[in-house]
Amino acid sequence: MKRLLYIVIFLFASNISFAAITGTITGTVKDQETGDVLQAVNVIVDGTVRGASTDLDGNFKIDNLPPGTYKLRASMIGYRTDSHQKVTVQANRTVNVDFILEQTTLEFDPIVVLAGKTEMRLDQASVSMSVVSSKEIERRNPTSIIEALETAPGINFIGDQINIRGSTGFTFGAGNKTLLLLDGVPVYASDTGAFNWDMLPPLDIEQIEVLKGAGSTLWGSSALGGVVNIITKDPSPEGALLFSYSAGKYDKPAYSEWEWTDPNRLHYTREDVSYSKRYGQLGVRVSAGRFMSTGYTELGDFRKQNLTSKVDYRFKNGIKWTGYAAYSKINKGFFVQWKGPNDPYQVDPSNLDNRSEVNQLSLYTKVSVPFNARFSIDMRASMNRSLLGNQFGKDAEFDPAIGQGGEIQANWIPVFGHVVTIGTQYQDDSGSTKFFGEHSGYFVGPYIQDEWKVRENLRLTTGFRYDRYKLVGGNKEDLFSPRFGVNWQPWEPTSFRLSVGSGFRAATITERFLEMTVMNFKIKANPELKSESSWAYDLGWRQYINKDWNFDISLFRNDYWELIEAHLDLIRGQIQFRNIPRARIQGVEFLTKFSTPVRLFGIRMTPGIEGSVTYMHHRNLKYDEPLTYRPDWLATAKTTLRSGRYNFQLDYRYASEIAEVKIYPINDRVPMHFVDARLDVDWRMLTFQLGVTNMMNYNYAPRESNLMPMRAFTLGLRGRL
Amino acid sequence: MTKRFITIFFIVLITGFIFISCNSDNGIEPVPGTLDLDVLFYKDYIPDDTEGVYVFVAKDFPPHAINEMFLSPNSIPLGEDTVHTELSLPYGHYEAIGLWWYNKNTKTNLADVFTLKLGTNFLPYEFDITEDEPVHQTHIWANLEHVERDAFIEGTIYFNGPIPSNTLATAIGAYAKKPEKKIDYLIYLQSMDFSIDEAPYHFKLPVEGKGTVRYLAVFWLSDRSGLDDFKTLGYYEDPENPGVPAQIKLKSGETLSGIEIHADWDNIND
Repeated sequence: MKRLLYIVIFLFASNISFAAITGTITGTVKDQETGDVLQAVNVIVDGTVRGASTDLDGNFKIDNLPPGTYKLRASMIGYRTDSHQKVTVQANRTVNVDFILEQTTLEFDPIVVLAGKTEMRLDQASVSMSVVSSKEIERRNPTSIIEALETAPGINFIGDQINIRGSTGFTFGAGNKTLLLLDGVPVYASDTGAFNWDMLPPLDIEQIEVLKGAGSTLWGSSALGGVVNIITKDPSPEGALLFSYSAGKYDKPAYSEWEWTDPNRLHYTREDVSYSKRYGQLGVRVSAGRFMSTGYTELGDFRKQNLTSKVDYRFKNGIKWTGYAAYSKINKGFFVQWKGPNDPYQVDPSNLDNRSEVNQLSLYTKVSVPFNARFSIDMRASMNRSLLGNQFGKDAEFDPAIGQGGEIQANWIPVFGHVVTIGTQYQDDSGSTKFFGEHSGYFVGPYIQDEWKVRENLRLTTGFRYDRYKLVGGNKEDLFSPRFGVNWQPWEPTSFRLSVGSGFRAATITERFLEMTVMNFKIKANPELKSESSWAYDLGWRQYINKDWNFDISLFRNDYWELIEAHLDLIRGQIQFRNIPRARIQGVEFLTKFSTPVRLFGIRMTPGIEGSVTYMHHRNLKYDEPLTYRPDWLATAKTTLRSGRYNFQLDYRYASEIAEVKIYPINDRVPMHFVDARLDVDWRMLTFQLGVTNMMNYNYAPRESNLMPMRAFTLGLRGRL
Repeated sequence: MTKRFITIFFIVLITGFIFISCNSDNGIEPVPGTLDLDVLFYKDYIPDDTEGVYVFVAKDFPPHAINEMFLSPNSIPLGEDTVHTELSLPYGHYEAIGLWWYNKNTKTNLADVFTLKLGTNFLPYEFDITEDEPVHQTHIWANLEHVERDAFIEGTIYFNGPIPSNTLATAIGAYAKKPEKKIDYLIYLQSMDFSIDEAPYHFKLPVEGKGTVRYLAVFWLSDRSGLDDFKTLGYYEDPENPGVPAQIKLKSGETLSGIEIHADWDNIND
């Protein structure tokens, strides 16, 4: 207790002493090609908790910095990150530092927050990550977040379940082995653990970060096989109206005997609109979205409405408050499986009343208090309410599942070179239906992590977390999640990383207690289901051949204990979630990026090429057999060719044939080959897009009896006013 | 020059790879063959709790697992003497055609495979679907009275130890004849209950109210084993001739109680 008191006294003493003698950095950020000033550029003082964004005139100001020499970085989506190595700050003086940023077609090493809960450049992280920028999201013009993520290296979807290097497989929607965060706040359904990938319009997204491997040390339960963090856009410095409209039409099936309705009636439309503005210290962003689709199958119809709002207030002393609300309402048909292999777009007539409704409200409030350049505190409270209804033709007999959480986190630089992140997270989940009764559980997890910059080119990360998970009136579990990481840059273009970390996931209420009958299958409760845990090992090498071309290789291994999988008991016609004592997924991932302006056939153009290959060896070690619903190989290739106001893109996705499935092993299984192409034409503040998805009209079923969409044509229009 | 070369190289490489891989096949294709089947019902009896009757076809019989059989996507129409149905099948050799009764209460009983088309020597009927003969026509006789189990055999199963942890299922089954070959375990099955989950276990097995049970036994399936790998743990012995399976005759609505069966875990190693 005495020691704690000393620490508190020390902290406040240091606040006072630093506040007394400090200096300021100011500057301007401009575009290299046009010379225009750039707004909303992030400028970070490396090794501190301080940073700023540029205003309407491209200016930034960072004050209250203790005298010393700092490294300053400026980053913005669509531009290469630029840095100034040695910026000297003197007491009561202002030093001016200007940046000139170069446009790029590809993001090479953007700033990320998922790796360490503080901002850092991607190539300085000790873990493997992928980043999908808002530019990339605009480029793909997705109808949901799934379409924005599915071309990221090492990621594939089975149904709507994300697999990060094969993390989840397919668990019939209940229990994702990854954690979904919205601005760092968990947003999974508290009863099923399911993700609502339609919870916000794609227009709202600034960046999606994907952490590959266990991340429970900082992020807690569910970060077993990876973490996805969706970062929403902040209010613009000046009033900005963004809109996006697209209309599409599905083509005929690849085989005429598969036609089940007039193909001309199968279409979709999406409209998103967003307005944001800063009124002095108050920033406001409001967005609305709508998506309507007839679907490409019987029972494939889909309707969604979104309403989101983000408000922040920047106090003069640097304190920032943010409030966020996202509401989504979805009504859709529920296509469980096809009628037969020769009627793949139809369902059995007895299943025609299978519908699903989802109402979700996600709220959070955050306060960030920067005491000085070496100490800041972030606090947040959040609530996620999701309501499922009418599943499998049942009446709306689900009650809202409510998850409430809070977190307090301090970022502290006790001595120069160390960034200590210390905090405590609390989460309470509850859900009730007539199918599993009333249940609730909570976990509380204190954590600490030290990011130690041993030298300019060497960073060590050490972290530890303890979680107490308790199902109210039931099981109690204590979980420990340590983590260690190294990032070493022996030379400027070369970086090596190594990380060892652990993850865990407590079984959801649905996995433990659901009892219901679906289409002759009885889902059986398993109250004794244990939490699953993992250890993830990752060794990576990132190399720049030149400033326009890099590659990254990582070797990874994820060891799982008590992995929770759906067990299909065909003899008794029942499904039950059970633990697999030991499982392992290991492999290698290679990715490369290349982008540079060239002159081809007399035309100046900027090509961007990004390719990745992931190999995964996945085994259920108890039976020495492949894990279900996981391919061995994944590959992506993305090309962008920009010339003037024309931008042509071609994307390719590959997944090898899924080796092991649960329900219909006799169904034909094939590898995945998907090609999407788009042509964007910019005209003033507008961009017109003509796109075609699944260009080769390839027929692929990632899980049995569920074909992916056939070829579709899309016309899009987006703009900024 | 280098930049230009790299750009052209990558564009040609990626475009070439995409077109080669995508033109090689179009993924999942329609299933080319058809089983053209007439189901002939002996009687117009349909149990009240009938959810449906499905056609199944097995490439191997007995199948290793239930999901290795091709099942009709929906129930055949009921209430008519003769029902015509079709089932899409890939090319290949098939070793069995049968009918599976589904009830509304989802209590599956392997004996709900109530009809198996028999060929020569009372073995399951085999057929081929080939490119030359993509449609195979045949018929099958059906009698839903076989699923009307209105008599009961009740008693206790005693085990010489706890149920092993590597158990997929432990069952009690009634047979019209003692199975000798793997195939017999499905052909002569009258009723089977897979819900044994404790030792000792009190059972109440529904059986047909006519006909004779000539073999009442306890079976065990290990994790990952298939329907072709039943292990017999013990059977109901004739009290007057120990070592010989007892014969049981019941009438509709009758319950035979007090049956004792001793199951020996040492038999799983046989």
